[in-house]
Amino acid sequence: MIPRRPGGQMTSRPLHFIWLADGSGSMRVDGKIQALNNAIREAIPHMQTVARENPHASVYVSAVRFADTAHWVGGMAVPVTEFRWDDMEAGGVTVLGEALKMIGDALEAPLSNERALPPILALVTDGMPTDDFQAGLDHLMAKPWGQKSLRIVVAIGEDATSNEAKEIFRAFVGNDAVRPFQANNPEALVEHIRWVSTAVLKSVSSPSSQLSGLASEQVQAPAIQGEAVPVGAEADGAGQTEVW
Amino acid sequence: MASIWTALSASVRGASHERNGLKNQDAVRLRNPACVADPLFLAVADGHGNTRSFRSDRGSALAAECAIRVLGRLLRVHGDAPLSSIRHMAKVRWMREVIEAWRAAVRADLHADPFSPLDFAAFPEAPPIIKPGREIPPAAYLAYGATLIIAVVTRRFILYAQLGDGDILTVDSSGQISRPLKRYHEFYANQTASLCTNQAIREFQVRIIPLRSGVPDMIMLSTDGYANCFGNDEGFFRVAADILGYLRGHGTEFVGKNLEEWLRESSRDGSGDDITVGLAVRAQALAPAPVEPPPAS
Repeated sequence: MIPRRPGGQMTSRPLHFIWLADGSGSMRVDGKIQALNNAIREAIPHMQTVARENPHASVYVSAVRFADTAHWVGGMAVPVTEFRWDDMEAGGVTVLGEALKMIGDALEAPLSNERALPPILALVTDGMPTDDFQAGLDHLMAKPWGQKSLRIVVAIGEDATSNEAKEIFRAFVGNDAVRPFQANNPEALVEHIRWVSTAVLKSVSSPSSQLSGLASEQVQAPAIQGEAVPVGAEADGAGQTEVW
Repeated sequence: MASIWTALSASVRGASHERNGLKNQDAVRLRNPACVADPLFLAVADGHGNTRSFRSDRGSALAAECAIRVLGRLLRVHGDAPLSSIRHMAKVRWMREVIEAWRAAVRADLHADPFSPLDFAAFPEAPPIIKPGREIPPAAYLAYGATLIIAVVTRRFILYAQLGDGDILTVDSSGQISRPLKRYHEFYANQTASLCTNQAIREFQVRIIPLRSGVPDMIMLSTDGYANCFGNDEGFFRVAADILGYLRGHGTEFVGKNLEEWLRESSRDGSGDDITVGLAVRAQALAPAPVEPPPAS
């Protein structure tokens, strides 16, 4: 018989996945908000499968809706097995900066301990923030877990392709190797959201190391590994009708 | 009385790597003293294992080998120098020589086995062209990227050095567990410094502790896959305390026989990562306490 293994109680490593969902008025146009609701709801079982396949990570899912205000929807850090998506309504302006500040404040102990895996922040939006986005981003990036987060954008519709919007997304992602996923129809949105929910989650929950700080600026290591990017990810759902 | 030290080690492929068909990216090398006057060398390295570091299993092996070879040579020459001088040399020169030796070993490995187009199939760029005698691009070093942790125990001092994540713990005779080097917050969340960057020399931590200021009973070096099995330091520190307990109660052979299975179990129930441990144990710490002669009547 093997004697008891050394050490205290073991735990899997927490991994926080946070949806930043745009609930502003423009998302009402052409059924974008309903497409977003459907796409995230459709992705949940796939997320749960990925999480089940990696027992070394405990995946927690949260969602922030931002419109006139930013607030958590359905509670913070819900175990992925219990996560449900309730339909979100659209209306109001786009306080993305406020949402980022709120997430920066949330990503501290006890939510994230030093053994945690990098959090994933998935922004789904159709346009420009209406508040001080930069102040919110600065606040997030001033927090250690904000800096370590992997930030992804799923951009919806033509308004999200403007140079101004691209600059915002680039600043949010903070890594030129990770481009926004552009969705110009519901099918592309489903595809991109499913990819973010599964391939990105799978990659981040693996134990391989990334170079830190200055090192990563000098020698760029891709944050998303070993996963094929879906067709049309950097285009617009090629071959499908553009409705947005 | 001079201390006699013994080193032992184990390294296992992570449960997650086994599932995904990946190699063990960790490496450990040790050199036990042949006599009391000889230093003990222990080096543990952790290859990054990400898609860009696709030869990091080789990179970690080269790192651990270079560390022991280079420091062995330098200590033969400078080992008797004043401690202040050794501190200065270790920080300014020795770690630079270790890094340079690793880079040279990477270049030699690449000349012997150049990258193939398949190695770079997943990346937008073609494999870098390697020319003899010429510096190789950063992406080539990144393919071999690894961290490195070192402990060298001499008759006069212990040298601890660390580049990147991983842990060095010491246990003293009262059971107190300490970290001789600071643990950097930047290295949480799978992020690490690396031998493959130009910042490596600035990010190498080095500390020389004279034996006259206290001798630990055990030194434990481990890759981050071990600490990441536990929710906090308390659970991880118990590893060192428990192993020393087993060493005292059952001896080095018993620990050597079980270490690999303990690591395998830890990876399976914890981090899923490769786990590697190097232990340096002071023989006197394991011996039963000498029996006091009865007082003369």
